[in-house]
Amino acid sequence: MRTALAQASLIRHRSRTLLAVLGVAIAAAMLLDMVMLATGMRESFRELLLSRGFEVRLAPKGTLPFDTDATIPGVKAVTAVLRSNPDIREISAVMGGSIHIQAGDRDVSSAVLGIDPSVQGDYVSLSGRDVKSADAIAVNDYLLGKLGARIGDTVNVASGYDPQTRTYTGQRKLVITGPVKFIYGAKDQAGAAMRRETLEAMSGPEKRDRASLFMIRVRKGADAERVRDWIETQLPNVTAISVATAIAQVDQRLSYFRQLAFILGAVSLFVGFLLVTTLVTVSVNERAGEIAVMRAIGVSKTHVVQQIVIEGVAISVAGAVLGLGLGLVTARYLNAILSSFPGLPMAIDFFLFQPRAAWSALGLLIASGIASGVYPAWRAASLPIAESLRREAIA
Amino acid sequence: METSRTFQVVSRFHRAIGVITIVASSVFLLCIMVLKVDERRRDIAALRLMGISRSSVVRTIVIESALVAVLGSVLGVALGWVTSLFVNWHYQALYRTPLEFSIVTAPVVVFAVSLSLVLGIGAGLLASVRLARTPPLQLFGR
Repeated sequence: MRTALAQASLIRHRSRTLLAVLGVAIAAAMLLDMVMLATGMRESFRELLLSRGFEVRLAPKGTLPFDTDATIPGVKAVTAVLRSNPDIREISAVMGGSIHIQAGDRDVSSAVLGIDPSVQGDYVSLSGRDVKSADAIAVNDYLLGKLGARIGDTVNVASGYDPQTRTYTGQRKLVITGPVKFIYGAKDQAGAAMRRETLEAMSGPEKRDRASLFMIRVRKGADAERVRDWIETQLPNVTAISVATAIAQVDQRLSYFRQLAFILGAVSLFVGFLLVTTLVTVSVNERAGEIAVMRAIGVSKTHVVQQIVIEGVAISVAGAVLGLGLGLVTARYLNAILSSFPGLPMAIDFFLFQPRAAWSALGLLIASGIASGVYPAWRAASLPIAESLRREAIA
Repeated sequence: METSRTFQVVSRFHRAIGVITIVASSVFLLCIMVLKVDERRRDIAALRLMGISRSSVVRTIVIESALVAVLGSVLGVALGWVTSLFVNWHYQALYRTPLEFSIVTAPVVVFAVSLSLVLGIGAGLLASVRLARTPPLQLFGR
Protein backbone atom coordinates (compact mmCIF):
# COMPACT_ATOMS: atom_id res chain seq x y z
CA MET A 1 0.00 0.00 0.00
CA ARG A 2 2.74 2.47 1.04
CA THR A 3 4.86 1.55 -1.96
CA ALA A 4 1.88 1.81 -4.33
CA LEU A 5 1.02 5.30 -3.03
CA ALA A 6 4.67 6.42 -3.28
CA GLN A 7 4.83 5.05 -6.83
CA ALA A 8 1.59 6.84 -7.79
CA SER A 9 2.93 10.10 -6.42
CA LEU A 10 6.17 9.79 -8.43
CA ILE A 11 4.39 8.79 -11.64
CA ARG A 12 1.92 11.69 -11.32
CA HIS A 13 4.75 14.12 -12.22
CA ARG A 14 6.79 12.00 -14.62
CA SER A 15 9.00 14.73 -16.07
CA ARG A 16 9.80 16.14 -12.64
CA THR A 17 10.67 12.69 -11.28
CA LEU A 18 12.81 11.91 -14.33
CA LEU A 19 14.73 15.17 -13.96
CA ALA A 20 15.34 14.44 -10.27
CA VAL A 21 16.48 10.88 -11.06
CA LEU A 22 18.87 12.30 -13.67
CA GLY A 23 20.24 14.80 -11.14
CA VAL A 24 20.75 12.04 -8.56
CA ALA A 25 22.33 9.83 -11.26
CA ILE A 26 24.96 12.48 -12.01
CA ALA A 27 25.63 12.98 -8.30
CA ALA A 28 25.82 9.18 -7.87
CA ALA A 29 28.23 8.85 -10.80
CA MET A 30 30.46 11.53 -9.31
CA LEU A 31 30.25 9.88 -5.88
CA LEU A 32 31.16 6.45 -7.30
CA ASP A 33 34.09 7.96 -9.21
CA MET A 34 35.36 9.68 -6.10
CA VAL A 35 35.03 6.53 -3.96
CA MET A 36 36.92 4.67 -6.71
CA LEU A 37 39.61 7.37 -6.80
CA ALA A 38 40.02 7.41 -3.02
CA THR A 39 40.41 3.63 -2.66
CA GLY A 40 41.44 2.40 -6.12
CA MET A 41 44.85 4.07 -6.36
CA ARG A 42 46.09 2.46 -3.16
CA GLU A 43 44.63 -0.98 -4.04
CA SER A 44 46.04 -0.87 -7.56
CA PHE A 45 49.49 0.02 -6.21
CA ARG A 46 49.33 -2.74 -3.59
CA GLU A 47 48.33 -5.31 -6.22
CA LEU A 48 51.21 -4.15 -8.42
CA LEU A 49 53.77 -4.43 -5.62
CA LEU A 50 52.57 -7.90 -4.62
CA SER A 51 52.05 -9.16 -8.18
CA ARG A 52 55.34 -11.09 -8.15
CA GLY A 53 55.38 -11.94 -4.45
CA PHE A 54 58.22 -9.60 -3.36
CA GLU A 55 57.24 -8.08 -0.02
CA VAL A 56 60.36 -6.08 0.85
CA ARG A 57 62.53 -3.82 -1.34
CA LEU A 58 65.92 -2.31 -0.54
CA ALA A 59 66.96 1.02 -2.05
CA PRO A 60 70.03 3.21 -1.37
CA LYS A 61 69.65 5.04 1.97
CA GLY A 62 67.08 7.85 1.88
CA THR A 63 65.74 7.07 -1.59
CA LEU A 64 62.85 5.21 -3.18
CA PRO A 65 63.51 2.47 -5.79
CA PHE A 66 64.87 4.05 -8.99
CA ASP A 67 64.14 7.54 -7.65
CA THR A 68 67.80 8.53 -8.19
CA ASP A 69 70.91 7.09 -9.89
CA ALA A 70 72.36 6.07 -6.50
CA THR A 71 73.31 2.41 -6.06
CA ILE A 72 73.98 -0.01 -3.20
CA PRO A 73 77.60 -1.22 -3.12
CA GLY A 74 78.65 -4.81 -2.33
CA VAL A 75 75.93 -6.98 -3.84
CA LYS A 76 77.67 -10.18 -2.70
CA ALA A 77 78.13 -8.95 0.88
CA VAL A 78 74.54 -7.66 1.12
CA THR A 79 73.23 -10.95 -0.28
CA ALA A 80 75.28 -12.92 2.29
CA VAL A 81 73.82 -10.84 5.16
CA LEU A 82 70.28 -11.30 3.83
CA ARG A 83 70.74 -15.05 3.41
CA SER A 84 71.60 -15.34 7.11
CA ASN A 85 67.96 -14.55 7.96
CA PRO A 86 65.88 -17.77 7.73
CA ASP A 87 62.71 -15.71 7.05
CA ILE A 88 64.14 -14.52 3.72
CA ARG A 89 63.36 -16.98 0.92
CA GLU A 90 64.59 -15.30 -2.28
CA ILE A 91 66.71 -12.26 -3.14
CA SER A 92 66.72 -10.50 -6.49
CA ALA A 93 69.38 -7.84 -7.08
CA VAL A 94 68.52 -5.40 -9.87
CA MET A 95 70.80 -2.90 -11.58
CA GLY A 96 69.21 -0.04 -13.48
CA GLY A 97 70.73 2.02 -16.24
CA SER A 98 70.36 3.23 -19.78
CA ILE A 99 71.66 1.89 -23.08
CA HIS A 100 71.97 2.98 -26.70
CA ILE A 101 71.06 0.51 -29.42
CA GLN A 102 72.13 1.10 -32.98
CA ALA A 103 69.36 0.57 -35.48
CA GLY A 104 70.79 1.22 -38.93
CA ASP A 105 72.05 4.80 -38.88
CA ARG A 106 69.90 5.66 -35.88
CA ASP A 107 70.59 5.45 -32.17
CA VAL A 108 67.70 4.35 -29.95
CA SER A 109 67.98 4.99 -26.21
CA SER A 110 66.31 2.79 -23.65
CA ALA A 111 66.12 2.10 -19.93
CA VAL A 112 67.69 -1.24 -19.02
CA LEU A 113 67.53 -3.59 -16.06
CA GLY A 114 70.31 -5.99 -15.14
CA ILE A 115 68.66 -8.99 -13.48
CA ASP A 116 69.07 -12.61 -12.51
CA PRO A 117 66.43 -14.35 -14.70
CA SER A 118 65.84 -17.14 -12.18
CA VAL A 119 64.51 -14.76 -9.47
CA GLN A 120 63.54 -11.60 -11.35
CA GLY A 121 60.24 -9.88 -10.63
CA ASP A 122 60.37 -7.00 -13.09
CA TYR A 123 58.88 -8.38 -16.27
CA VAL A 124 56.84 -11.20 -17.77
CA SER A 125 58.05 -12.96 -20.86
CA LEU A 126 55.48 -12.72 -23.67
CA SER A 127 57.09 -15.30 -25.98
CA GLY A 128 60.49 -16.62 -26.99
CA ARG A 129 63.29 -17.35 -24.53
CA ASP A 130 64.36 -15.54 -21.36
CA VAL A 131 67.79 -13.89 -21.02
CA LYS A 132 69.54 -17.12 -20.03
CA SER A 133 72.90 -16.40 -21.70
CA ALA A 134 75.32 -13.49 -21.32
CA ASP A 135 74.74 -12.28 -24.91
CA ALA A 136 70.93 -12.10 -24.61
CA ILE A 137 68.71 -9.04 -24.34
CA ALA A 138 64.94 -8.97 -23.85
CA VAL A 139 63.04 -5.88 -24.99
CA ASN A 140 59.48 -4.61 -24.68
CA ASP A 141 57.18 -4.22 -27.69
CA TYR A 142 57.64 -0.45 -27.75
CA LEU A 143 61.44 -0.74 -28.08
CA LEU A 144 61.13 -3.58 -30.58
CA GLY A 145 58.94 -1.33 -32.73
CA LYS A 146 61.35 1.60 -32.43
CA LEU A 147 64.26 -0.61 -33.44
CA GLY A 148 62.35 -2.18 -36.32
CA ALA A 149 64.00 -5.44 -35.26
CA ARG A 150 62.73 -9.00 -34.85
CA ILE A 151 63.27 -11.73 -32.28
CA GLY A 152 66.58 -13.45 -32.94
CA ASP A 153 68.22 -10.34 -34.48
CA THR A 154 71.66 -9.33 -33.23
CA VAL A 155 72.00 -5.67 -32.24
CA ASN A 156 74.88 -3.39 -31.24
CA VAL A 157 74.29 -2.21 -27.68
CA ALA A 158 76.36 0.43 -25.86
CA SER A 159 76.11 1.43 -22.23
CA GLY A 160 77.35 4.98 -22.79
CA TYR A 161 78.28 7.68 -25.30
CA ASP A 162 81.37 9.87 -25.12
CA PRO A 163 80.45 13.21 -26.74
CA GLN A 164 84.12 14.36 -26.97
CA THR A 165 85.33 11.39 -28.99
CA ARG A 166 81.85 10.76 -30.42
CA THR A 167 82.16 7.10 -29.68
CA TYR A 168 80.01 4.57 -27.86
CA THR A 169 81.45 3.00 -24.71
CA GLY A 170 80.90 -0.50 -23.32
CA GLN A 171 79.75 -1.94 -26.64
CA ARG A 172 78.42 -5.49 -26.99
CA LYS A 173 76.63 -7.48 -29.65
CA LEU A 174 73.49 -8.95 -28.07
CA VAL A 175 70.76 -11.23 -29.42
CA ILE A 176 67.12 -10.23 -28.90
CA THR A 177 65.61 -13.31 -27.23
CA GLY A 178 62.02 -12.38 -26.70
CA PRO A 179 59.51 -9.60 -26.17
CA VAL A 180 58.71 -8.91 -22.52
CA LYS A 181 56.25 -6.73 -20.63
CA PHE A 182 57.73 -4.68 -17.80
CA ILE A 183 55.48 -4.75 -14.74
CA TYR A 184 56.55 -1.29 -13.53
CA GLY A 185 57.04 0.12 -17.03
CA ALA A 186 55.34 3.33 -18.11
CA LYS A 187 53.37 3.74 -21.31
CA ASP A 188 55.57 4.66 -24.29
CA GLN A 189 58.74 3.83 -22.39
CA ALA A 190 61.46 1.83 -24.12
CA GLY A 191 62.70 -0.93 -21.82
CA ALA A 192 65.19 -3.78 -22.01
CA ALA A 193 66.55 -6.44 -19.67
CA MET A 194 69.78 -8.43 -19.65
CA ARG A 195 71.75 -10.44 -17.14
CA ARG A 196 73.20 -8.26 -14.36
CA GLU A 197 76.71 -9.56 -15.06
CA THR A 198 76.40 -8.44 -18.72
CA LEU A 199 75.29 -4.95 -17.73
CA GLU A 200 78.09 -4.74 -15.12
CA ALA A 201 80.68 -5.77 -17.69
CA MET A 202 79.38 -3.14 -20.14
CA SER A 203 79.16 -0.36 -17.55
CA GLY A 204 82.78 -0.46 -16.35
CA PRO A 205 84.42 -0.89 -12.95
CA GLU A 206 82.43 1.88 -11.18
CA LYS A 207 79.23 -0.18 -11.51
CA ARG A 208 80.83 -3.51 -10.53
CA ASP A 209 79.16 -5.42 -7.68
CA ARG A 210 76.50 -2.73 -7.27
CA ALA A 211 72.70 -2.84 -7.42
CA SER A 212 70.04 -0.17 -7.69
CA LEU A 213 67.50 -2.30 -5.88
CA PHE A 214 67.07 -5.57 -4.01
CA MET A 215 63.73 -7.32 -4.02
CA ILE A 216 63.06 -9.88 -1.30
CA ARG A 217 60.52 -12.67 -0.97
CA VAL A 218 59.91 -13.72 2.62
CA ARG A 219 59.10 -17.21 3.86
CA LYS A 220 55.38 -18.07 3.96
CA GLY A 221 53.96 -17.05 7.32
CA ALA A 222 56.88 -14.72 8.14
CA ASP A 223 56.16 -11.11 9.12
CA ALA A 224 57.46 -8.81 6.35
CA GLU A 225 57.56 -5.84 8.76
CA ARG A 226 59.84 -7.73 11.15
CA VAL A 227 62.12 -8.70 8.26
CA ARG A 228 62.20 -5.04 7.18
CA ASP A 229 63.17 -3.89 10.69
CA TRP A 230 65.86 -6.57 10.88
CA ILE A 231 67.37 -5.49 7.53
CA GLU A 232 67.51 -1.84 8.59
CA THR A 233 69.49 -2.79 11.72
CA GLN A 234 71.85 -5.10 9.78
CA LEU A 235 72.41 -2.89 6.72
CA PRO A 236 72.63 0.78 7.72
CA ASN A 237 73.35 2.02 4.16
CA VAL A 238 69.99 0.89 2.76
CA THR A 239 66.35 1.89 3.15
CA ALA A 240 64.14 -1.16 3.52
CA ILE A 241 60.63 -0.67 2.19
CA SER A 242 57.79 -3.08 2.85
CA VAL A 243 54.54 -3.00 0.88
CA ALA A 244 52.85 -1.19 3.80
CA THR A 245 55.53 1.52 3.97
CA ALA A 246 55.56 1.90 0.17
CA ILE A 247 51.78 2.38 0.18
CA ALA A 248 52.09 4.91 3.02
CA GLN A 249 54.68 6.88 0.99
CA VAL A 250 52.53 6.80 -2.15
CA ASP A 251 49.55 7.85 -0.04
CA GLN A 252 51.54 10.84 1.17
CA ARG A 253 52.71 11.80 -2.33
CA LEU A 254 49.25 11.46 -3.87
CA SER A 255 47.29 12.80 -0.89
CA TYR A 256 46.03 15.62 -3.12
CA PHE A 257 43.90 13.20 -5.19
CA ARG A 258 42.52 11.49 -2.09
CA GLN A 259 41.51 14.80 -0.54
CA LEU A 260 40.00 15.98 -3.82
CA ALA A 261 38.03 12.71 -3.99
CA PHE A 262 36.78 13.21 -0.45
CA ILE A 263 35.68 16.82 -1.05
CA LEU A 264 34.00 16.17 -4.41
CA GLY A 265 32.38 12.98 -3.08
CA ALA A 266 30.95 14.87 -0.11
CA VAL A 267 29.69 17.68 -2.38
CA SER A 268 28.05 15.14 -4.74
CA LEU A 269 26.34 13.40 -1.85
CA PHE A 270 25.11 16.73 -0.47
CA VAL A 271 23.82 17.85 -3.88
CA GLY A 272 21.96 14.55 -4.32
CA PHE A 273 20.53 14.88 -0.83
CA LEU A 274 19.41 18.46 -1.44
CA LEU A 275 17.79 17.56 -4.74
CA VAL A 276 15.75 14.69 -3.33
CA THR A 277 14.77 16.72 -0.25
CA THR A 278 13.55 19.59 -2.45
CA LEU A 279 11.58 17.29 -4.73
CA VAL A 280 9.91 15.39 -1.90
CA THR A 281 9.18 18.62 0.02
CA VAL A 282 7.49 20.19 -3.01
CA SER A 283 5.56 16.99 -3.53
CA VAL A 284 4.40 16.99 0.12
CA ASN A 285 3.38 20.67 -0.06
CA GLU A 286 1.29 19.95 -3.14
CA ARG A 287 -0.40 17.00 -1.48
CA ALA A 288 -1.05 18.68 1.89
CA GLY A 289 -4.80 18.29 1.44
CA GLU A 290 -4.49 14.69 0.33
CA ILE A 291 -2.31 13.84 3.33
CA ALA A 292 -4.77 15.61 5.66
CA VAL A 293 -7.62 13.50 4.23
CA MET A 294 -5.59 10.32 4.78
CA ARG A 295 -4.88 11.33 8.36
CA ALA A 296 -8.57 12.29 8.90
CA ILE A 297 -9.79 8.81 7.82
CA GLY A 298 -7.43 7.18 10.33
CA VAL A 299 -4.19 6.55 8.42
CA SER A 300 -1.40 6.61 11.01
CA LYS A 301 1.45 9.12 11.12
CA THR A 302 3.94 6.24 10.68
CA HIS A 303 2.20 5.20 7.46
CA VAL A 304 2.48 8.75 6.05
CA VAL A 305 6.15 9.02 7.10
CA GLN A 306 6.99 5.65 5.55
CA GLN A 307 5.28 6.52 2.27
CA ILE A 308 7.26 9.76 1.94
CA VAL A 309 10.57 8.15 2.92
CA ILE A 310 9.92 5.43 0.27
CA GLU A 311 9.55 8.20 -2.34
CA GLY A 312 12.96 9.63 -1.41
CA VAL A 313 14.62 6.21 -1.38
CA ALA A 314 13.03 5.24 -4.72
CA ILE A 315 14.44 8.35 -6.44
CA SER A 316 17.86 7.74 -4.85
CA VAL A 317 17.97 4.04 -5.83
CA ALA A 318 16.83 4.71 -9.43
CA GLY A 319 19.41 7.51 -9.69
CA ALA A 320 22.12 5.31 -8.16
CA VAL A 321 21.51 2.47 -10.62
CA LEU A 322 21.64 4.88 -13.56
CA GLY A 323 24.65 6.61 -12.00
CA LEU A 324 26.59 3.35 -11.71
CA GLY A 325 26.84 2.97 -15.49
CA LEU A 326 27.51 6.68 -15.95
CA GLY A 327 30.16 6.59 -13.22
CA LEU A 328 32.02 3.70 -14.83
CA VAL A 329 32.16 5.53 -18.17
CA THR A 330 33.43 8.78 -16.63
CA ALA A 331 35.90 6.85 -14.42
CA ARG A 332 37.38 5.25 -17.53
CA TYR A 333 37.75 8.66 -19.17
CA LEU A 334 39.33 10.26 -16.08
CA ASN A 335 41.62 7.24 -15.59
CA ALA A 336 42.86 7.58 -19.16
CA ILE A 337 43.83 11.21 -18.39
CA LEU A 338 45.69 10.39 -15.15
CA SER A 339 47.38 7.32 -16.68
CA SER A 340 49.38 9.65 -18.91
CA PHE A 341 51.37 10.90 -15.90
CA PRO A 342 55.05 10.72 -16.95
CA GLY A 343 56.79 7.65 -15.56
CA LEU A 344 53.66 6.12 -14.05
CA PRO A 345 53.57 2.30 -14.37
CA MET A 346 50.97 1.24 -16.91
CA ALA A 347 49.47 -1.20 -14.42
CA ILE A 348 48.48 1.58 -12.00
CA ASP A 349 44.84 2.57 -12.11
CA PHE A 350 43.66 5.70 -10.32
CA PHE A 351 40.04 4.64 -10.72
CA LEU A 352 39.82 0.96 -9.90
CA PHE A 353 36.38 -0.61 -9.85
CA GLN A 354 35.87 -2.67 -6.74
CA PRO A 355 32.45 -4.09 -5.80
CA ARG A 356 33.09 -2.71 -2.31
CA ALA A 357 33.37 0.82 -3.74
CA ALA A 358 30.08 0.40 -5.63
CA TRP A 359 28.34 -0.91 -2.51
CA SER A 360 29.76 1.96 -0.44
CA ALA A 361 28.44 4.52 -2.95
CA LEU A 362 25.05 2.80 -3.11
CA GLY A 363 24.88 2.56 0.71
CA LEU A 364 25.70 6.27 1.08
CA LEU A 365 23.05 7.19 -1.48
CA ILE A 366 20.36 5.05 0.16
CA ALA A 367 21.26 6.55 3.56
CA SER A 368 21.05 10.00 1.96
CA GLY A 369 17.70 9.03 0.33
CA ILE A 370 16.30 8.03 3.74
CA ALA A 371 17.69 11.20 5.35
CA SER A 372 16.27 13.37 2.57
CA GLY A 373 12.79 11.98 3.20
CA VAL A 374 12.93 12.68 6.93
CA TYR A 375 12.28 16.46 6.85
CA PRO A 376 9.35 16.36 4.40
CA ALA A 377 7.94 13.29 6.17
CA TRP A 378 8.10 15.08 9.50
CA ARG A 379 6.34 18.10 7.95
CA ALA A 380 3.66 15.89 6.42
CA ALA A 381 3.06 13.94 9.63
CA SER A 382 2.73 17.10 11.72
CA LEU A 383 0.26 18.88 9.39
CA PRO A 384 -2.75 20.18 11.36
CA ILE A 385 -5.53 18.01 9.91
CA ALA A 386 -8.52 20.36 10.28
CA GLU A 387 -6.67 23.47 9.10
CA SER A 388 -5.22 21.67 6.09
CA LEU A 389 -8.65 20.36 5.11
CA ARG A 390 -10.21 23.82 5.46
CA ARG A 391 -7.43 25.39 3.34
CA GLU A 392 -7.91 22.68 0.72
CA ALA A 393 -11.69 23.28 0.66
CA ILE A 394 -11.19 27.05 0.22
CA ALA A 395 -8.63 26.46 -2.54
CA MET B 1 59.95 18.65 -19.38
CA GLU B 2 58.51 15.94 -17.09
CA THR B 3 57.26 18.59 -14.64
CA SER B 4 55.56 20.40 -17.49
CA ARG B 5 53.88 17.15 -18.61
CA THR B 6 52.81 16.48 -15.02
CA PHE B 7 51.17 19.93 -14.85
CA GLN B 8 49.49 19.29 -18.21
CA VAL B 9 48.01 15.99 -16.96
CA VAL B 10 46.78 17.58 -13.70
CA SER B 11 45.35 20.49 -15.68
CA ARG B 12 43.50 18.12 -18.09
CA PHE B 13 42.14 16.20 -15.09
CA HIS B 14 40.91 19.43 -13.47
CA ARG B 15 39.24 20.51 -16.71
CA ALA B 16 37.45 17.15 -17.00
CA ILE B 17 36.28 17.36 -13.39
CA GLY B 18 35.16 20.95 -14.09
CA VAL B 19 33.06 19.87 -17.08
CA ILE B 20 31.41 17.08 -15.05
CA THR B 21 30.70 19.54 -12.23
CA ILE B 22 29.16 22.03 -14.69
CA VAL B 23 26.89 19.33 -16.17
CA ALA B 24 25.87 18.21 -12.66
CA SER B 25 25.19 21.81 -11.56
CA SER B 26 23.19 22.48 -14.72
CA VAL B 27 20.90 19.51 -14.13
CA PHE B 28 20.58 20.49 -10.46
CA LEU B 29 19.73 24.09 -11.30
CA LEU B 30 17.24 22.98 -13.95
CA CYS B 31 15.56 20.64 -11.46
CA ILE B 32 15.28 23.28 -8.75
CA MET B 33 13.92 25.92 -11.13
CA VAL B 34 11.36 23.55 -12.64
CA LEU B 35 10.25 22.47 -9.16
CA LYS B 36 10.08 26.05 -7.97
CA VAL B 37 7.88 27.13 -10.85
CA ASP B 38 5.83 23.93 -10.68
CA GLU B 39 5.10 24.62 -7.01
CA ARG B 40 3.34 27.82 -8.03
CA ARG B 41 0.89 26.22 -10.42
CA ARG B 42 -2.09 27.47 -8.36
CA ASP B 43 -0.80 31.07 -8.27
CA ILE B 44 -0.34 30.93 -12.04
CA ALA B 45 -3.85 29.51 -12.48
CA ALA B 46 -5.27 32.32 -10.34
CA LEU B 47 -3.37 34.96 -12.34
CA ARG B 48 -4.60 33.47 -15.61
CA LEU B 49 -8.21 33.34 -14.35
CA MET B 50 -7.97 37.03 -13.37
CA GLY B 51 -7.20 37.79 -17.00
CA ILE B 52 -3.42 38.25 -16.85
CA SER B 53 -1.98 37.31 -20.24
CA ARG B 54 0.21 34.27 -20.81
CA SER B 55 3.17 36.44 -21.85
CA SER B 56 2.92 38.51 -18.63
CA VAL B 57 2.90 35.33 -16.54
CA VAL B 58 5.90 33.95 -18.41
CA ARG B 59 7.77 37.26 -18.12
CA THR B 60 7.11 37.48 -14.36
CA ILE B 61 8.41 33.98 -13.78
CA VAL B 62 11.46 34.46 -15.99
CA ILE B 63 12.38 37.67 -14.15
CA GLU B 64 11.93 35.88 -10.85
CA SER B 65 14.14 32.99 -12.06
CA ALA B 66 16.79 35.44 -13.23
CA LEU B 67 16.76 37.17 -9.82
CA VAL B 68 17.12 33.84 -8.04
CA ALA B 69 19.99 32.90 -10.39
CA VAL B 70 21.76 36.24 -9.76
CA LEU B 71 21.33 35.90 -6.00
CA GLY B 72 22.57 32.30 -6.13
CA SER B 73 25.53 33.33 -8.28
CA VAL B 74 26.55 36.09 -5.87
CA LEU B 75 26.37 33.65 -2.96
CA GLY B 76 28.21 31.02 -5.04
CA VAL B 77 31.01 33.42 -5.97
CA ALA B 78 31.43 34.40 -2.31
CA LEU B 79 31.46 30.74 -1.25
CA GLY B 80 33.90 29.89 -4.05
CA TRP B 81 36.21 32.72 -2.99
CA VAL B 82 36.21 31.57 0.65
CA THR B 83 36.77 27.94 -0.46
CA SER B 84 39.63 29.07 -2.67
CA LEU B 85 41.28 30.81 0.32
CA PHE B 86 40.91 27.61 2.35
CA VAL B 87 42.27 25.40 -0.46
CA ASN B 88 45.35 27.63 -0.84
CA TRP B 89 45.93 27.79 2.90
CA HIS B 90 45.65 23.98 3.22
CA TYR B 91 47.83 22.95 0.27
CA GLN B 92 50.43 25.66 0.78
CA ALA B 93 50.89 24.33 4.33
CA LEU B 94 50.81 20.69 3.18
CA TYR B 95 53.38 21.04 0.39
CA ARG B 96 55.30 23.93 2.01
CA THR B 97 55.08 26.09 -1.08
CA PRO B 98 53.97 29.65 -1.85
CA LEU B 99 52.28 28.41 -5.07
CA GLU B 100 48.59 29.25 -5.40
CA PHE B 101 46.45 26.17 -6.02
CA SER B 102 43.17 27.97 -6.62
CA ILE B 103 42.75 31.45 -8.11
CA VAL B 104 39.38 33.17 -8.55
CA THR B 105 39.81 35.26 -11.70
CA ALA B 106 37.39 37.67 -13.39
CA PRO B 107 36.82 35.37 -16.41
CA VAL B 108 35.98 32.47 -14.05
CA VAL B 109 33.46 34.63 -12.16
CA VAL B 110 31.92 35.96 -15.41
CA PHE B 111 31.66 32.40 -16.78
CA ALA B 112 30.03 31.05 -13.60
CA VAL B 113 27.54 33.93 -13.30
CA SER B 114 26.67 33.83 -17.03
CA LEU B 115 26.16 30.07 -16.98
CA SER B 116 23.96 30.25 -13.93
CA LEU B 117 21.93 33.12 -15.49
CA VAL B 118 21.47 31.27 -18.78
CA LEU B 119 20.45 28.07 -17.00
CA GLY B 120 18.19 29.90 -14.54
CA ILE B 121 16.39 31.88 -17.24
CA GLY B 122 16.22 28.82 -19.51
CA ALA B 123 14.73 26.64 -16.79
CA GLY B 124 12.27 29.38 -15.73
CA LEU B 125 11.19 29.89 -19.35
CA LEU B 126 10.78 26.15 -19.94
CA ALA B 127 8.67 25.60 -16.85
CA SER B 128 6.59 28.80 -17.16
CA VAL B 129 5.73 28.27 -20.84
CA ARG B 130 4.59 24.72 -20.01
CA LEU B 131 2.38 25.96 -17.17
CA ALA B 132 1.07 29.01 -19.05
CA ARG B 133 -0.13 26.72 -21.84
CA THR B 134 -2.00 24.45 -19.43
CA PRO B 135 -5.69 25.48 -18.89
CA PRO B 136 -6.03 27.27 -15.50
CA LEU B 137 -8.69 24.90 -14.18
CA GLN B 138 -6.46 21.95 -14.92
CA LEU B 139 -3.72 23.68 -12.92
CA PHE B 140 -6.17 23.90 -10.03
CA GLY B 141 -6.66 20.16 -10.29
CA ARG B 142 -10.29 20.48 -11.37
